Amino acid sequence: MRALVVLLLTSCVAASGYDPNAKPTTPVPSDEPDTEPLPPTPKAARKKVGDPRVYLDGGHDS
Amino acid sequence: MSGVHATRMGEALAEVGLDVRDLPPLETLSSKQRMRVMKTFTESLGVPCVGCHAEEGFTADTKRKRVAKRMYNELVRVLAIDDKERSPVFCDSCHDGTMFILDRREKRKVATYMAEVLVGKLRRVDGRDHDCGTCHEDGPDFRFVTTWKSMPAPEIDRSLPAARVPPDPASYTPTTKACGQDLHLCPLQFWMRERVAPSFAAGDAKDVAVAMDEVAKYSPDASWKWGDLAHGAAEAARRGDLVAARESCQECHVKYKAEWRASHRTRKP
Repeated sequence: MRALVVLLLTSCVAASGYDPNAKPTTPVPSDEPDTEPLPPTPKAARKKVGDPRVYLDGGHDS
Repeated sequence: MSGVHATRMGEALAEVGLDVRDLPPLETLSSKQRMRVMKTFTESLGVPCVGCHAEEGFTADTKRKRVAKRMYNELVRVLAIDDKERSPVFCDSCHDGTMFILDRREKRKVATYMAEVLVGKLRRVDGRDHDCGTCHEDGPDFRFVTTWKSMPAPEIDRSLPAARVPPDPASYTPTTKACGQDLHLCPLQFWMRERVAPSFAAGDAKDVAVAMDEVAKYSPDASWKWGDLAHGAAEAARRGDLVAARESCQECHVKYKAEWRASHRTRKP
C-alpha cells in the first residue's frame, strides 16, 4: 500500500514537471522597453573605469 | 537545466583570436572579433540581434546593450568555474540559451540558488574572493541590472586604478572557499545570504530591521562601530528608508570587511 502511495506521488510530481533541482526560470518581463534607442552619450561624458580584474599579485596578466 | 557549466563557446572565440580565459574588454575588440562575439551572445541567450539592439539602428544605445556590455566586461571576464582546471565561463555558462534565468518572485529560493551556484560553483580569475560583491558590489545593490540599465555602460581603461582595490595580499589570504562546509561559504556570508539578502531584495523593510538588529550582536570587537552601524541600518529600515539602510551596510563593509576576513571569518553568527 505504502509503495503504491509513493509511486502515485512520484508519478504526480513527475507529471507536473516539477524538478526540485531545476534552475528557477522567470516569466519574460516583456513590458520593459529595453531595446528602444536611447540618446547617444557625448564622447566627453563617457565614463571610463579601471579593470574589474585586479590580480592579488600585481598586474593584469600575472 | 541547472547550475553553471564551462563555456562551449571557446572554439568559436578562438577562431577570431580570442582566448576565452583572458578576454579583452568589449570596446577593444576588432570589428571581426566583435561580430563573432555578438553571435556568441545571440546563441548563448537564444535571442536575435534585436533582442538587445534597437530595430531603428544597431549603433543606438539601448538598455539591453548596456547590460550585455557590462555582463561581458565586468562578470564574464572575471569569473571561472571553481574546479581544478578553472574552466572558463562565458554567457552560455549561466544563460544556456535563455535570456532570463532567474525567477525573482521567490526571493529566498533565488538567494539560495545564488549562494549554491553563482557563488559556490564559480571563482574569480584574479585570485580575489568571489562573493556577492562580484556582481552586487558592496552596497550591496540587489538590483544592479536595473542600475546598469539606467546609465551608459562605462568603458574599461586598464591604465586607470580599479574602483575596488582588494586588501593587501600580504595581510590577507583569500579563503572564502575553505572555511565553509557544504556551500563553501563562511558562516557569516551564508547567514547574510539566507537572512539579509532576500529581505533587502524583496524590499521588506520590517524584516530588514529585525535582521539588522540581529547583526548588531555579531560584532567581534567591542571597539568596532559595527553595532552602531547595524542599529543605524535597522532604524533606517524601520523608517522605510532602505537606501539609508544599505548605506549603513556599505559603511560597515568598507570599514570592517577586510579585517573580519583576515581575523574572524570562521566565526559563527
